Amino acid sequence: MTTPYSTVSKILHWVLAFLILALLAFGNKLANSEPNFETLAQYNQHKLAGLFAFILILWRLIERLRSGASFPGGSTPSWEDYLARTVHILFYAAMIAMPITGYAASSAAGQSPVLFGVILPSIAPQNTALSDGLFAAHGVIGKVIFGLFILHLAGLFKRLIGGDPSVMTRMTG
Amino acid sequence: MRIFVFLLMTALPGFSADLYEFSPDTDPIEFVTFTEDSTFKGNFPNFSGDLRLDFDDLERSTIDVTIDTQNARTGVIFATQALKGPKLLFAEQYPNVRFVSRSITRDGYSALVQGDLTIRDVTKSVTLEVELFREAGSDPDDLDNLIFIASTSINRNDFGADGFPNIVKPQLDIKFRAKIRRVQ
Repeated sequence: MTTPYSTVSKILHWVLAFLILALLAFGNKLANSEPNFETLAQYNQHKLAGLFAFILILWRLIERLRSGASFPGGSTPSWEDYLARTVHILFYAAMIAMPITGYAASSAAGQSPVLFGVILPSIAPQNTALSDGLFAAHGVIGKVIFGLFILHLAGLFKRLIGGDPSVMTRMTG
Repeated sequence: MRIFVFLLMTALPGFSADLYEFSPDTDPIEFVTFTEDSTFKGNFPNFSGDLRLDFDDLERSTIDVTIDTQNARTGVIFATQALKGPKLLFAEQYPNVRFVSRSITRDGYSALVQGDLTIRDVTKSVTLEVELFREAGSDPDDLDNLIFIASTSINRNDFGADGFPNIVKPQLDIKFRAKIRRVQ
């Protein structure tokens, strides 16, 4: 038996889901394109959208900690419940690490995000090796998030196929 | 109309190693890089230096110019960030570019100034082509304010500024048109 999430949590869930998937696709496109003056500007759009996502993630985390979360299952959680909880925890960890590594990598490359013509503060010393390492970590975390997304969907569909729509309705109802 | 002064001044007695500095209102040092299909310009607005010009014996003149890399700019903020970042000028770690002359020889109406250019702590020998002009309308004997024009081309890879090879080609043209004033 599950209880619905708050309206704020539900809105944040869906906004973040679409925003993060769009950021993953956009970031993947940028990472595989030849850099030029146009992509430098596109990178900045990606950074700003990532910062916006970071704010929403923190908000969602606060909501989650404030109102808690309910998981399906009875008094004795099954391995699926443990997996679902683990996926949730990893999701939050990866969603927080993703923008931090991206911002730090950009700072280390001397290219902190630019907002309305103002260069935002650097959070890492300029260093090419550090930048390359952080960008690599950023890319790996992106793949981890996508993998977690697949696991999240798999869990959802398993519940739906098993005749338990509550995991969906608690986020849509 | 500007008047070329090197030849004129060598005929004038009594000038030896006058000290000049850049006027505060002088133009920035400009540079041009080349992309696949166009050029890309930027400049260094902040620089300082001593120019000891010996009009009796040009070869005894010396030029020492220090350029502030932290205020380099391109007009496009993302390109400026890249220019000052660790893959190019690395302004955070190397806040200055410096040129110190080693020898000066006359070359027709201009002078060839061979010297050491230091970028990112890498020093290479480069040659500047230099011309000096009087300002338009100034008295022929008035050498207090002059126009200093210098240009050179370098390969940025020689100095370790080898980032963004897919965007910008190695060649970098530098052009210097500065007002200088005699201070001593």
